[in-house]
Amino acid sequence: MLAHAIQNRGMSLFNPFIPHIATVVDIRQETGDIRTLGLRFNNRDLDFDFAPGQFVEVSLFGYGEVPIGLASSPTRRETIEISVKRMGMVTGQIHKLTIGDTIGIRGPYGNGWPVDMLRGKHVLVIGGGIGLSPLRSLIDYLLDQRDDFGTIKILYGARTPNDLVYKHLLRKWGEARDTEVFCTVDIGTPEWDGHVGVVTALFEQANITIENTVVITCGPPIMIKFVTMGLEKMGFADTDIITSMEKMMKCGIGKCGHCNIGSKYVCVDGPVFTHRELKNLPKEL
Amino acid sequence: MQDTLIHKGRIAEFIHELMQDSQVIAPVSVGGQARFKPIESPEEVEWGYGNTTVSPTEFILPHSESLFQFEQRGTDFNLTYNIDNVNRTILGIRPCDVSSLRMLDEVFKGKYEDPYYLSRRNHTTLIAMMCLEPGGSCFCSSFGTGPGLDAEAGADLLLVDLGEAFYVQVFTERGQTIMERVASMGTPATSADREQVEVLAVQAASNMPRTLDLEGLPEAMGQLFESAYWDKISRKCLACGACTYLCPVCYCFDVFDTCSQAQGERVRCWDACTFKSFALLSGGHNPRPSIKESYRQKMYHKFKFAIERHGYALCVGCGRCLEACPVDMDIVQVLSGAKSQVVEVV
Repeated sequence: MLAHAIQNRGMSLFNPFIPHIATVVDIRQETGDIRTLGLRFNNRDLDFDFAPGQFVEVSLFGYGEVPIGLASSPTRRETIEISVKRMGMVTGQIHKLTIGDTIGIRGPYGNGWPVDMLRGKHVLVIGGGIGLSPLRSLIDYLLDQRDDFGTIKILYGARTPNDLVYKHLLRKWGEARDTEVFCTVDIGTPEWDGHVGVVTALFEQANITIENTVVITCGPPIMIKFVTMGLEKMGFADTDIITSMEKMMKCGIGKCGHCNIGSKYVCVDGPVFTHRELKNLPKEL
Repeated sequence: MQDTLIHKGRIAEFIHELMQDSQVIAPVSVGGQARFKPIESPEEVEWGYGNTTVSPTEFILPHSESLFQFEQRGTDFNLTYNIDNVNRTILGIRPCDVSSLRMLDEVFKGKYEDPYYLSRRNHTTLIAMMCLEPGGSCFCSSFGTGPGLDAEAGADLLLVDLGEAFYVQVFTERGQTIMERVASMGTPATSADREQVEVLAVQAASNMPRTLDLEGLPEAMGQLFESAYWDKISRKCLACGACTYLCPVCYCFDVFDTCSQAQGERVRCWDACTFKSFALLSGGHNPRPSIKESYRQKMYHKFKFAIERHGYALCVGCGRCLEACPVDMDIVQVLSGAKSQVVEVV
């Protein structure tokens, strides 16, 4: 897919380290420190295909690269979207970009959510904070092929009402057929009339069924810990709880060693793992 | 092809022939220490050295290299890069270091081929030198990565010092092409010469000062991950990274940009899992917050995770990590100690 062929002693090598140049065509400020960028590749002939849950390496030339999960669904290909929280040097620069600026994109990398395993199943999506971003790719993918999946329940928690991302989509998703959205915040505000508490406190209200249901979850490690504990207590099999892992990454292609845990490289073997797979990895999460 | 003897009186001629179409890298004396460097004349080659402090694998995976240069043009960026395709010959590379390259190949091939590494690798001829006297920290015979070398190890030629002459064994087509070019410099080796080589190999192996028994090691480590043993062992580690930098099999790297005004480059350089920020996440969470976890990661990656993933440990027994450690951490003792911990528990 990468169009950087090199002639080398008769063999053609591709250079996976060279990013594609993309232009920022849309910017939406989601919260105080999270923004969503719409991107279009400058090479219009580039066939950038990906699966929900895969990630890209985003280059800000002169600052470096960061791995970011794709937020848009491959079923909507006019642009690709990424949601970025302002954390360090590169993400800080991403927050300074304006429409028309160019950045670099390598990828897509990683395994992505197991969408084929979800066909015919009920899907319970549980997200926390910016963790809703790679889940959004999946939710839009499911909704665009609505007949292939059972009921969809989306549980989403953030620190405060101001930290909820994709507010416009949360409303829209709730209006889709057989789809319910439940939101909660850790700390409410006077204007907030929704649920206050951690995301596991939504379990009862959401009336979760275990049978024929697969859970897809992404969020901070502490949330994942209590969500999986709660789900296993309810009777979910550890193979039906699926999560995306965050690790320090540099290359994204299984070489640099930064994301190694156990015999796995999160960038190529993950970032998506079943809870059973995670249990078998060293406790260094 | 039949093995050859090249009399030492003609070895300069042999090297000169190698220099015709490749940059020859060989051990030379730098400040009293042997170091692999590009040579300008055959006389520079230092034959009577032990293992070099730095492995010649740095000519395949250099300490740092440019991945690409970028230049801003308006809002657009122009990217250019260079793939190193200089023909090189590493002369006198030791069997352990040859074996380390075969291990690195597994990492840099795979689904995403690394063109920088693989191009250098493909353009490099390896003329190995069998070890007759192992160094004081060597334990290569524990891995079968030395002191001799078989055809599968990946060297093109193997030299064995027989005193008056070098015995030359051909392993690859590329090695054969070289020997055809220098045919006039050598004489066919006899079966007596071959026997002498075998005797020397057995002798060198029996003189190996240290051994690491790998039997049951990954299983023992599997039981020991949470053990206080790693607290105790890691207490004296300074996390200086010398062991990982000098290890010919350690390949972890960092990637960063350098930039001045509108142009710059993306660079990769060696990194070390023993450094504190190696696994640090952008939010401040560190899955390996202390030296205990990072030292443990180094040992587990090499001797458990790699065996599970590749089928072999990421170690060739060269002993450089022992030689370089400022606090005398001894990888053989640490691993043998780990095994005996499990035995004690049982």
